[in-house]
Amino acid sequence: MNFELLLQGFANILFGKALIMVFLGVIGGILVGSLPGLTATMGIALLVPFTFGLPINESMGMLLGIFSGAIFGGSISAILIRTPGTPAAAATLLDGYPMAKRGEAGRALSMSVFASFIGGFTGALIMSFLAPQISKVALKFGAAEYFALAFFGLSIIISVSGNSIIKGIIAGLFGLLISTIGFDPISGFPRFTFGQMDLFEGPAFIPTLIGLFAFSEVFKGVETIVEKQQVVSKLTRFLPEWKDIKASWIDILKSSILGTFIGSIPGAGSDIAAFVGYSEAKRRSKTPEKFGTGMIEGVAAAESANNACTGGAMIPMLSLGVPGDAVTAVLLGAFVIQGLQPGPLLYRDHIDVVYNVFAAMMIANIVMFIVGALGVRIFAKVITINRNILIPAIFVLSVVGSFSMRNSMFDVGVALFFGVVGYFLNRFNFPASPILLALILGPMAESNLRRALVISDGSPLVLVTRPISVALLVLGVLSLVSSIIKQRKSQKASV
Amino acid sequence: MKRVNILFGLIGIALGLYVFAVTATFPDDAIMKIGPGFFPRILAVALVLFCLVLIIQNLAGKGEKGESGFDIKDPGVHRSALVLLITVLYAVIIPFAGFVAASVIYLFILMYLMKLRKWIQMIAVSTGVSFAIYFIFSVLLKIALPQGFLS
Repeated sequence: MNFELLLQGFANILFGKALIMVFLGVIGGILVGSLPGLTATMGIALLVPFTFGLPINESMGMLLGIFSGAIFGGSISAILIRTPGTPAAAATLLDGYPMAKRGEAGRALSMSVFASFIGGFTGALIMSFLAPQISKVALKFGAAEYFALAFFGLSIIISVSGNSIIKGIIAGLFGLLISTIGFDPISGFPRFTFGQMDLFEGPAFIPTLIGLFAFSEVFKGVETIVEKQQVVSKLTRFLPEWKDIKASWIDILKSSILGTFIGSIPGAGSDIAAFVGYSEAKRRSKTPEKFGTGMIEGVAAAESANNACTGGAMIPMLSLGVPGDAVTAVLLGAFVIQGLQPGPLLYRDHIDVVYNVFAAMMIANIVMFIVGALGVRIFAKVITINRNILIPAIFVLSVVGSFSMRNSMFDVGVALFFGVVGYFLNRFNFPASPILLALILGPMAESNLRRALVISDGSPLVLVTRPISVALLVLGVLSLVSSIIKQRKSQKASV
Repeated sequence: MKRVNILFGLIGIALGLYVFAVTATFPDDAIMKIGPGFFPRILAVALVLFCLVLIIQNLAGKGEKGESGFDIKDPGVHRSALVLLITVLYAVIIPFAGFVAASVIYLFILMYLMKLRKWIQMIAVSTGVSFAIYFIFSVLLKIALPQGFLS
């Protein structure tokens, strides 16, 4: 890590409009994160269009603010109304909601803010140290390694999402096929375009994403009309009590580090990190049986782990160009729209941008702490907003968001098409995250596979004779096979 | 779930076969040997294989348990189909009516479908949200939204 560049990065973010954008991003992120029915992925997909017109530092600051805010925001509704605002907050709910029911919502939320901040900041720090190192190694990667990496990332996300591995694989293959629409990256031949000019570069990323993650959700959302929800208890405090911090600081630190490393595995996301952190705290505890009845350590461990995951997920995204989870896949798409292709070359060609990202990530977490602690009462009101008003507004935002990237109504059509596809896939238990990751990793997998085969004169042995490549491929296959076996066992157990 | 899974499997196989057929029309790359059809073809074969697995699993009764929860007669499903139709119409009229006018009407109709009946609130929200989004995108972010006859 280069401290001079990092300081410069801090200066770039702190003394400019970028800081305002970080604030706006954090507020927007907490809002979308805390609203039940808006997952972090969907929220970011809806907010990314707001950054299209901004200069790179400001748009990045805003995106990272949204990212950090959204993961924390999920805990607000998990604690207050027993609905995780994002999947990442599902573990927070276990002890957070019982606390709120006892009238300790303020205690749980202030701990959640604090733990999220420590986790997120630790993740950002580890990212700043590790990402440059990994990118150095990655500069030596050849085509075979990149193909293997893409394969590895896809198999992880397939193994962790959804109940059926077969369906996950089918979803992944579907996403990969979509990614081949448009000009062939090597020969330039247009594929599957149906003669449509608009499809020559493939279906645009943001509209596809809005379709799969926003439209599909609201189409499902209009099916049921839900009554307004009530918040169970009043909020009385902003900062955690000293005794709570003393009780859980070991869990917070442990979860922060665990979360960062889980996040850094391509494909594994913050929901998994939160559950691993939670069960680790439960294992360490002297009274594990009390977990689930409102233990402050449970909230602390889950929240620090899922926010630490944000920094961790940025590591492979920045240094390898492989997103750590669905949310970072969206971030990666947003970077590309700004004209930056994450990966080892980013470090060679735009090292200043990389350090701005490090700085922005740390600042975003500090801002999240401030906004979260001071604004928690307001956010607690917002989550009870009438869903029947919210959903129509999301429809409009989805249309505007998909239109605004290229000022194209065709893109709105693309978003609607994928909205319907996503709705049916979702309805029938096909996970959507593998599709998203496949869209990002598909072109990378294809061009590197073909490059590797050209270099080897067509022999597929090139993939298995290089140590890093073979290791990644084997790990990918293992994660798929082991989760199929696990699935079999749990099915047998339930029969 | 069983029948739906088999149906999805068949759709997947059809898609795979279609992709395979289309790649046959792709040109061969004389120099690089591995042409534009190479990767889609691998994917198509894999898709067909895994869809076969899905079908066989479900025929053997080893698929997921439980119902899909999707009922074509469910009024909720009708509502989402209706919303889809209205959204398509909305997208079509935006270039003519302009973003704000189209959105006000669209939001109002959607809220009506969501069983809201507080008329003043509905009018306030639909105009407020439409103008707010227009202001943020067109004025603050300088992303032009269609203005239609208001321009």
